[in-house]
Amino acid sequence: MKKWLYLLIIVILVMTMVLTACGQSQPAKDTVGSTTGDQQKQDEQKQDESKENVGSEKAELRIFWWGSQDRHDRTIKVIEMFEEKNPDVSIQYEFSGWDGYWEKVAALAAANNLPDVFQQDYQYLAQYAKKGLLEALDPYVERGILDLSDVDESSIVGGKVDGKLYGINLGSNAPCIVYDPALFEQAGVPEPTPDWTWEDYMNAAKTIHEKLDIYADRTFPGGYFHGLKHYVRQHGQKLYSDDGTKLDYSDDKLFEEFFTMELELVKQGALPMPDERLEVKSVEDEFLVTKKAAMAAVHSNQIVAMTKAANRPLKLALLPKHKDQVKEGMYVKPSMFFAVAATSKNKDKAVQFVNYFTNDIEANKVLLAERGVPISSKVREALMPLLNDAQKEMFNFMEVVISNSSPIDPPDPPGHPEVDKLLKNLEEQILYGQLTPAEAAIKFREEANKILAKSAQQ
Amino acid sequence: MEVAKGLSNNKQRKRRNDYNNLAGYAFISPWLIGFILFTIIPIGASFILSFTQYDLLSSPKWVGLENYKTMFLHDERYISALKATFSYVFVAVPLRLIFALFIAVLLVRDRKMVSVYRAAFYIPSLIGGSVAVAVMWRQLFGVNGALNSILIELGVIDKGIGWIGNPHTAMWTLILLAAWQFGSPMLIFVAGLKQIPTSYYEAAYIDGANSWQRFTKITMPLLTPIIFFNFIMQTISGFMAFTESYLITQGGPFDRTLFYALYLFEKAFKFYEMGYGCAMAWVLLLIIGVFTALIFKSSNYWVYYESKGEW
Amino acid sequence: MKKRKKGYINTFLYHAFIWIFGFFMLYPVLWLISSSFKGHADIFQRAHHLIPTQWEFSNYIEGWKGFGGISFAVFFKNSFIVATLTTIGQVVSSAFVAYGFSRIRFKGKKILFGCMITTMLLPSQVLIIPQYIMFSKLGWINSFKPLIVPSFFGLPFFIFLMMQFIQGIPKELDESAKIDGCNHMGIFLRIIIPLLVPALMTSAIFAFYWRWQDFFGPLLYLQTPAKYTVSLALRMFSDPAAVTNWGAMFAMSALSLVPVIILFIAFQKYIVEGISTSGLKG
Repeated sequence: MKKWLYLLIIVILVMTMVLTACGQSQPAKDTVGSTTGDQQKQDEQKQDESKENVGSEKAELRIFWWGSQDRHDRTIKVIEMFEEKNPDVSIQYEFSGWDGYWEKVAALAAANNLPDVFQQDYQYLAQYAKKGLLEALDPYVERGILDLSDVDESSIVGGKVDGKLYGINLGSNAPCIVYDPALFEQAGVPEPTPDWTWEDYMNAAKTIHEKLDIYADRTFPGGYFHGLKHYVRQHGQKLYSDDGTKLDYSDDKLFEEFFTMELELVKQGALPMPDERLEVKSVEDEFLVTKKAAMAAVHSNQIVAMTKAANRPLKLALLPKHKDQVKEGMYVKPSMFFAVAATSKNKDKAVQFVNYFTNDIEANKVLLAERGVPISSKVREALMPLLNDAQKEMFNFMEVVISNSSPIDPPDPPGHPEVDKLLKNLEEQILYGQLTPAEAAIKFREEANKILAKSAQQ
Repeated sequence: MEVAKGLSNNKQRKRRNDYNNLAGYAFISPWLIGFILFTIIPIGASFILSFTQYDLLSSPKWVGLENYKTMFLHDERYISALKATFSYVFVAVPLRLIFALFIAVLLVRDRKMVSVYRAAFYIPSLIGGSVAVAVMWRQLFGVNGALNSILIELGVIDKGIGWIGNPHTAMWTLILLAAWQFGSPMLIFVAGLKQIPTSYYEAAYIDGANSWQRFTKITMPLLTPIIFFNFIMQTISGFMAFTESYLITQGGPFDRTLFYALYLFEKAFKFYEMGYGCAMAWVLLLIIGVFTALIFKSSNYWVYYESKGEW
Repeated sequence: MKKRKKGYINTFLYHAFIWIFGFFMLYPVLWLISSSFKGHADIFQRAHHLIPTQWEFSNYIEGWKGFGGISFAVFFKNSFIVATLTTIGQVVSSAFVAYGFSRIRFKGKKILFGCMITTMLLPSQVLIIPQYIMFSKLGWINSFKPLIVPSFFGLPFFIFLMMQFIQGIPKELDESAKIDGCNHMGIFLRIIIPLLVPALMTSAIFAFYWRWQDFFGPLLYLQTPAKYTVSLALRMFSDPAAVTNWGAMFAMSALSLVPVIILFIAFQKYIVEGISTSGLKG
């Protein structure tokens, strides 16, 4: 008790000292406080005014997404359109780059303050859904607030966790290969068909490298993760078990074969070493764009950005098939979702917004497939005449994917980001000759199972 | 008489002590209050969380010492992170301090242009955390970067090396980046050098001391409190280095540049293992604490204070 | 004569060295500035050329527009408010605390000083979440308060820095002021502060810059784009999967350096003038 009293006296004392001693004026704390206070008040006033303008009782929605300048501008415009149509809703939006987005969402989740609608990613969706942070949307579909009648099941299923719909796909894409047809022709290599196999890919890569003295590809198809996942799927297995507690595929041979192929190309110089790959950090210095390679592993929606950067026509190809494949490895992947927070106070309005985003033709004319191919067939039709060549290629390619695919696996388990990192490290160690593919396969199984088991405990 | 005087002396001393206690707390009260209001709670929370499994999305689960055990017994990446961090601290910190001191001494004289020069050497430190620095660093050390062009021109190598992605050189590019950004310790050194009264130099000059003697006999001893400060702070920030690796190498290739703070960040925010991250933080606190304490202890032997604080 | 000649050579060598070394130091910065004037293709394809083929001022115009109708004028204004108040808060409060720790003998000082140093040793990453929860309980989210208010309670880095400088000030000065009847406040304001100017200015430069470039704090605590700061807005340009307007980003990055550089040049003058003109007799 005495101590606290002591402390209080000190506080008062220091205040008087600050204000009196030697009569010098200090930039006192009060002024500062009031300045920020004023700022605050002004902002509040502004908000009040805008409220008054439209009328009484408004449902407030908060929306949060990541993206680039282009996406911000388009999304904000659609939000304004929605507000115009729904004067009873006022939307407070925030956006950020990919950098920092998930940190902020985590903080918001920890403080129980998630936005009503926020962008979700395939690798985090299951985690958030399983923790009860997201609202299951099936009832809203039944009630007709969310209209998915024009949407193919294959575009919906990626947003399901344990059989319930938690995320609405904002655009479909698929891990694939983007290539430069001119370079293929120059090397005398036939362009990939939907039926090309790993052997075809290997041969094409070697020929391109020998004939043109450039790299064939920056990474192996699909990169280390999607590539391996694809390869495992082709053999009728899954990378992760359905409950996400362990690796599902049983044969380490698959891992070994996959990375042996990559190692072979790297050794021949048809693929760059990781040190060189690392230097590509943006679309603009992608090797394909700078003509240092003829192919690149991408998600199909990236062709738009890449064509713009390269300023010449590019095309998309499926990941190679396996000659003895049990099923198709390709699948339709949701590029990103909108999810509704379980804590939202205006869930109906939130879902209504998601519905508008998904189905409204005018809104989608503004969004213009920037997040990937829209899932509604009506929207796709309406957009067709507005698309540029790269976007058309993306739309058409998705049709090819749909007819050469098998259903998507369940969303990645909570341990996925760490497993992904592990796999990346192992790939690098293989390519630098520190581990053989066989050794890496065993290590991957051990470590990944550990990670998955641990993260499943939570 | 004697006794009475002693008594009043005692009383006086007590009064002075009371006044000093009061004044002391009054002066440090901004920090103390802030510490109680804003710092103690989060620090306490992080300590408690270090004994839990906490994924940020649901409530924490008590696991006792599990996190600490895993860290030292079962986590290979943790060991890589320790290795990377130590090698970074032991090389980058001294390099940065030497650069900073050297340039500060050069730029302390009142010559023409000195203030412009000073700004020029400080500017690199201003762009440290920006996105631009990552792009820039690749222009310098990339396969087709400036460094390779020069080396090829000179005939040292015949094919470009990917300095940033190569496991043997990646750390060095980060160390170089750290050395390049010596602006803040430099500025502190300049301020410290300016604090040394010119009359000291004048006296020494009259006594016939040459510039080297003046440097070693006056500058260095009087600068030791500042060297001490920079040494401590750079060591601390070295152990906590994050941005360089986060922006440029992301810890790669295979964890060769995985700084402790980067791994902690990955665990806490990318893998959602906040409990583990907190445990890592507290171990780091111990590690830095030991180093800081050692430097503090050693300061008795080499740091010269014009006026020793009231300890 | 000879000596004079040697002097010239020395001066020449001095400047030559600084110029050459300085060029290496500044190369990346020049690169940034030149990139901000380059067209889209130029930035990457002619990356190591410092002179753009064509000077593109449109990057600045494009970038300044910002996002969704909120221009960089707003972001700059926000950054100024936050950084200026933070600087004042940190420097003033830290000076008080530094004096208390270095010139006054009081009970519990060692322990408290130890506590203060210890707070610097904990990586901030683990404090983010508890702090966020705390500030959201206080209802401070989406205001500048979480960024500004804590700075009025001193920053251990500056406190420690100023302590080191105070300990370089001869004690005799205090004593003579004491004889003149000054209490601690008097000594602090009349003796210490004037002599501490270099350290105060150094701290001010750091404080301003640190807050100016801080990205994570604003990211966490600010929600409406109208409150975003420059450092936060700069990160809004890029998305690894999409086309980034690099020219605009570099333009705004370059522009964001200007206030900090101006502040530096303005304040570092006082570092020079600090003690040498204050007529201190050793």
